[in-house]
Amino acid sequence: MTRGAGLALVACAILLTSLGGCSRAPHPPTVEPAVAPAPPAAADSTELADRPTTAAADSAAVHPSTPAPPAPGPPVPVRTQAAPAAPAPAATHPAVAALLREARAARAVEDLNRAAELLERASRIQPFRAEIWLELARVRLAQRRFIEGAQLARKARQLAAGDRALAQAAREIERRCTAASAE
Amino acid sequence: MRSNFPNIMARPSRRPVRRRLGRTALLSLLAIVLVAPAVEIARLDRQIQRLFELRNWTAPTHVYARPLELYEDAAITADELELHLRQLGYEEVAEVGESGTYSRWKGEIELVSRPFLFSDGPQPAQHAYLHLTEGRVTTLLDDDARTPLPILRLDPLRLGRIQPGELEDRILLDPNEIPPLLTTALLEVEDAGFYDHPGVDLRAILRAATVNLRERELRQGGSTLTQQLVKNLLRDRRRTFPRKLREAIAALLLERRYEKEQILVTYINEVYLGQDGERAIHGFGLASRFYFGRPLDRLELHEIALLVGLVRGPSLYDPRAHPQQARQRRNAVLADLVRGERIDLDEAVEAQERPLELADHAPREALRYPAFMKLVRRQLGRQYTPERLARGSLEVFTTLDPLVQNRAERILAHRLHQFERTRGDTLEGALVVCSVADAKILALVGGRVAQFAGFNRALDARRNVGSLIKPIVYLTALESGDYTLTSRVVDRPLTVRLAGGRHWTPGNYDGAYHGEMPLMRALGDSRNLAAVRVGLDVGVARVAEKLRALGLTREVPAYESLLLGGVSLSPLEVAQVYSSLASGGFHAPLGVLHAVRVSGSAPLSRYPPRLTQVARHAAVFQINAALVMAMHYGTGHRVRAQLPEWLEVAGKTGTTNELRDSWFAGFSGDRLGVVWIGRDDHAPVGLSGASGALAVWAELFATIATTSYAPPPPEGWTQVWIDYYSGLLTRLGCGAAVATPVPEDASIAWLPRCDPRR
Repeated sequence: MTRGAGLALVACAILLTSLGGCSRAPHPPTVEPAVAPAPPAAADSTELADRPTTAAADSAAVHPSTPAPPAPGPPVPVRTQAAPAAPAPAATHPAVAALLREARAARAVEDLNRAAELLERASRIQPFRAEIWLELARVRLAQRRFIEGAQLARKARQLAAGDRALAQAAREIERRCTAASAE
Repeated sequence: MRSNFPNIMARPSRRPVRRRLGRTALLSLLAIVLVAPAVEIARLDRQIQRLFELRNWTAPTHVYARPLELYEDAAITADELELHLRQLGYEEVAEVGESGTYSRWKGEIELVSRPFLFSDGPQPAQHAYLHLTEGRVTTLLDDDARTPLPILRLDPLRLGRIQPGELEDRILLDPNEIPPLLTTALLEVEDAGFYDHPGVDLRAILRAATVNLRERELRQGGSTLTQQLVKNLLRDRRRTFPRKLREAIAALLLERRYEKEQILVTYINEVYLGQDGERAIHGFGLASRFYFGRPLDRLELHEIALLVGLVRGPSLYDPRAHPQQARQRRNAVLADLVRGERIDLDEAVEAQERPLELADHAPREALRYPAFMKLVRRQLGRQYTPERLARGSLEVFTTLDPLVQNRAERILAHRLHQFERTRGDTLEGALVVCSVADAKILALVGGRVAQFAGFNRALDARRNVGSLIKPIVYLTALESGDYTLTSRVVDRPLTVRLAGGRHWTPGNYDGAYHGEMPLMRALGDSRNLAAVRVGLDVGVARVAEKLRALGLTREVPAYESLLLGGVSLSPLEVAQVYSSLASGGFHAPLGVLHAVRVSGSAPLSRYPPRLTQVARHAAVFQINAALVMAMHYGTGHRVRAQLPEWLEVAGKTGTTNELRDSWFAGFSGDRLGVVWIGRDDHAPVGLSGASGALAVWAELFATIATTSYAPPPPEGWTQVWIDYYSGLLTRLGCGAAVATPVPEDASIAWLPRCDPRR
């Protein structure tokens, strides 16, 4: 891989992510250049773009076995750093929204098996949507399948991604399921 | 026509001598029947009835694939959709109107789906319009209302029927699927009096005896089709008189109970017609595929004659082993047909001149996806008794995704062929694809010839897993709380003193040692020594325990070699373990069943995934993040460019000593795939995980419908840019920046050259 190609690749990555910063990412000889993982949410891009480019970054190639010749400075709290890479939660897919609607309607008329199957279909389309798992936990609770309900509520909580109301609802269903299964 | 015992007595005969003889024989037979213990006859009656019924339920058990779901952005090409519609039997028409029809113009497809009773309820027919561009559904409309349709589910593809136990490998034919020529030829050659005799044909026996006496050898049997069927059902090949008598009685009993037509159809489905290694070829349906590679209704006269000729001696006239004898026998059958005025002389002569025209490729399985169906039968067998399955009229809804399965078969075969061309080995492979959300198996390939129902490597080939174990080692470490992804671990040689005073000095794959490095890189670059050191620190027993918790159902000995994958697992077992990682630490047994019901009624059973959390969320989240990094900077980076840029995936290579096994296990947001390549004799194949299995995996994941691995971080955790090589804080575009989950309260030093404050 030529230096020029590497440059072009990285430049593309930078353009793509609308971030400024240094112009070349050094790579060890054994590893081909690769673009950085999923672009971060746009929220912090301005902050990073405003930062000055360091000259050192352009010249120093870091060999993997001998990391960074200048000794690193003291640790800094990550809390103060711009948080990247938490992907913005994707919007609910219209197909998933439709299945969720149907599932809620089915649960309302106590067609619980149907509700569960609709939700399983939805989970296959968007596996990281917490509300699908929460709704499924509600169905299992209604079916008195408490052990499954508790686990599904936990799964929902795990995917809540800062949605406090959802996490709270999931915690409540997990509590009810756990209590009921203990009886 | 129905026959029974009195008919034997009342049977008219033209010649007095014969009648006397026949009557004497019948009387003696009847006498024996009467003196024989009634119990024995009743037992035989029950036995033969059970065996017959087992082969004769009126509604067989049907197996379905997972239905295709279409929605905006679903990944499928117009060609694939059309192929699928054709597989489903949809008819292409100019004007779409009836359900089960479609029309296509380039990327536009209009269709009316078929109504179907799903396990979640009935679904009416739907008139829909789809526009597909660049491998995705871009528009989906309800074509009556001209409004957007959120989701369209097609009726499921029927995979085939299944038979219980010993019958599993058959192609059962319905009466209307049997070519009349076959029936004609069979009766002419084997049992001309079939419609007149009561199960035993005394005239035929006498005729045979006369011929045999005259020719002084056993040339004719004189057994009726019913007797032959009984012989096949009872599976007793001895040629003794009591045996023959027992068969004769059973034949009479069978004829008393069942119609001639039913007996004939059962015979055609049951008769023994050859041997394929350990597999017996029963029935004309399977024999047709076995010898000619085509269904029975597509055979020509000379081919039907060959099959009919085989009845007399499947090994004697085996066309592959003894082509000369087989041809003579075939031509004798054709001559019989001319004598019986069943075909013209011209036809016969023409057929007699034809070569045997056997299929030369490996025999094809009765069912379309043998490896997957094997697992279906295995899992069904755990839920239902053979008797329940035999009672039939069940509908089994499985999770097979035909699109994924077809691609997986094609890609594996193609890549193995490519590897062989450059290396000159003969390779084998296996592949499992699962759905992450519900822990269901979507595709299963048990070997390079996917249609061949032989050794199923995906289920039954257990091989050392090599570095596939490392994520489990590090997961155990992360769960202990003593490590995070940026913890420094050491990649330097060491010698381990084993129990019994022996020593073990493991090495790195490339022979190099890189000293200190962050844990995430040690995993991503698959450094052996770092894994051994970390594993010894947390304890081998705990790693073994974790492996079990993640879903391995067997005991794993906690030897030190476990830390480098010194444990043999099948691809399916690997998939089970990795499925717990892919789903964020929730285990659910991998299944192939969705629901089972009696035809047309509510499901008897449903098989939703039973989730159990088996690993701490934060630990699994970190491991998966490291496996994502491995695809960018580590052992998986080679294929990164082959995958769509937007697609984030996580995965791990595995390579065993001397390149005997090439493994890759990896997942996206919704799919998990495990690929193994190696040889059945464990010889080296010259492929690492990255150069072999990973190439297959990447090609598959680049083309199947899938979504990115992008779950939200756990509570109390945040993601920052960390330099992959040093584990130090960086920013995007400087160093090897990888998004890394760290505790919100963590403090990490800057990679000096990327520190914006300098």
